[in-house]
Amino acid sequence: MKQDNARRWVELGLLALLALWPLGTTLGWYSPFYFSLMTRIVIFGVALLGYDLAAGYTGLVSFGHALFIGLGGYAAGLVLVKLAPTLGLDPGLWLWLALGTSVLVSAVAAVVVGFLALRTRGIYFVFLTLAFGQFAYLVAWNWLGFTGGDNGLTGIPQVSLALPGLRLELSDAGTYYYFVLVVFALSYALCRRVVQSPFGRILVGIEQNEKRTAYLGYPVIRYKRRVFLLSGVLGGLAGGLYALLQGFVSPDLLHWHLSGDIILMTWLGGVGTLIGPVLGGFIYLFVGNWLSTLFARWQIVMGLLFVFFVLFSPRGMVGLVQQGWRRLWGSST
Amino acid sequence: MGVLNVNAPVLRVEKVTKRFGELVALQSVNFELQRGQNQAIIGPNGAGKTTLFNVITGEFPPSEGRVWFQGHDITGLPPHHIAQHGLARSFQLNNLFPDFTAYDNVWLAVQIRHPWRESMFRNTRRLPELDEQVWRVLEQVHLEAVALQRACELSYGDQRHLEIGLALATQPQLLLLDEPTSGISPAETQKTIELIQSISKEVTLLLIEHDMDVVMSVADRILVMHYGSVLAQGTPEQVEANPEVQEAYLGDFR
Repeated sequence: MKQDNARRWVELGLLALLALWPLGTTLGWYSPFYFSLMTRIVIFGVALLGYDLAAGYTGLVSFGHALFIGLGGYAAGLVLVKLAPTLGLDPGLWLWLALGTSVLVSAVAAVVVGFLALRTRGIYFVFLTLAFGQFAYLVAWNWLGFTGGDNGLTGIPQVSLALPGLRLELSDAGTYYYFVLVVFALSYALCRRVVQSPFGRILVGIEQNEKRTAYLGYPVIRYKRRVFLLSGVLGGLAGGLYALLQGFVSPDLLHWHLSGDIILMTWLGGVGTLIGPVLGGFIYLFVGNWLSTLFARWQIVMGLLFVFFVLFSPRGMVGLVQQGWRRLWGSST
Repeated sequence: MGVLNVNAPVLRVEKVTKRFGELVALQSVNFELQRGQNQAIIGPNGAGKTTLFNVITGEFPPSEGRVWFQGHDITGLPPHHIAQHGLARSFQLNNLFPDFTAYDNVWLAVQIRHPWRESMFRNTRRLPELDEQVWRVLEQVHLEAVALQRACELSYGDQRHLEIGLALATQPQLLLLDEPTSGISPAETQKTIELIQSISKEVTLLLIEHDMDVVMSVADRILVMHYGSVLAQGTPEQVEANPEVQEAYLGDFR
């Protein structure tokens, strides 16, 4: 209970920091570049939350999460470029159309990949998810007429957010940032709720001992499919948000590099903690960017950091903080 | 289910044969178990006792034969399906959720009997009726004092009790215990015997056991296995008096 309260404060504190972030640009503390970088970090946060549900809580470590991010990105982009202008819809609805398609497409992909890959475990699961991701990457790369091939899909129009009695222009960087932040906060609340639910208990049971979970009477595969779907949908949503931010989608969004980055971020920050992977994403993208302005071989530092956490704190940065907390306040968990 | 079949034996194993390649692990095993009747399966290592458990609980299907549980054919069903029907098992080697506390281990087992067991949005902290049941099970297996310790940090004896507690917490109609006293010190064995006796009042037991003190103190019937076949079955007295059994198995203890 004490830990729950502590976490509540950390969550609110971090959210407040994120909400105040644009202030720094207004006051001229940092360049607009860091502002858009932060938008990207929050967007990746949505994908990382979803990845953690599957990888951290359930033990389904996939090497193909970029598949969902990329599909979500292309889905939103293609709808806005090819479909939306022909429909004669109010442009205020384009946003919902685009993100809805991202969610739908990634959901279908998660169902299909989940159906095929979740029959396997361990390294076979890793390879299968990697293969599906790379398959989609090669399709996006080669299908010039549809996806724009290696040039990417360009010319995604700016959209606005239309709600009853409210219209926000998302072309404004600040407005878009807050929109993304709201989506992130809702996703976080959803994931937190899920991991505290009876379903969440089953997920951790599967991670801890899949066989015994089945012997207690739980149809393990069903829950794996459900969490994989949820994970994929959040990835797709993040992809859609990313496409809207960038105004284009490149095949890189489907590449295994991104899947690898997701894994790194997750373990760096603290797998199975929800906050951790998001924090890991921040460190990897933000500190990484800052380091890269100092010297070219900045990834050495990131690599050493990663090695350190894997060796000394399996729960990453959050695990380190938790250990420190216990040492300070005793083990009254 | 079960309502229509109150008179059916709780478990019926019918000509079950299990082959692994050339090896015949079970050879046409036949037996029945009535409700409220506790049966022990004894036999030397390699006799096929655990294989029989694995066939009954759905780990793998038999090569031939059928398994009936409360009048329903459960042959070849997956383990979770069989467990949902009310057939639970404990394992010979501890098979727990190592990073869960003893409390959380039992929680997950208790949860399976609740209508919202797979709800994604209910907060588990706000389910007092479940909490009560978890403590009842912990009390029954004498683990209240260590309830908040992680399973992997418990003493071996406590882990064995938790192993039983997990199966018990699913509120089964039939409980299969695979060597509940294996690896336990003689001093702790008495505690385990008492535990098994108290459980046997609530649920029908089928247990594999080497310790004859345990067998004699809980079993109404004994099934003796030898090289994958049933050598003898009957009341403890009948089995003890059986010359074949004396030669093949009990003889070792005299």
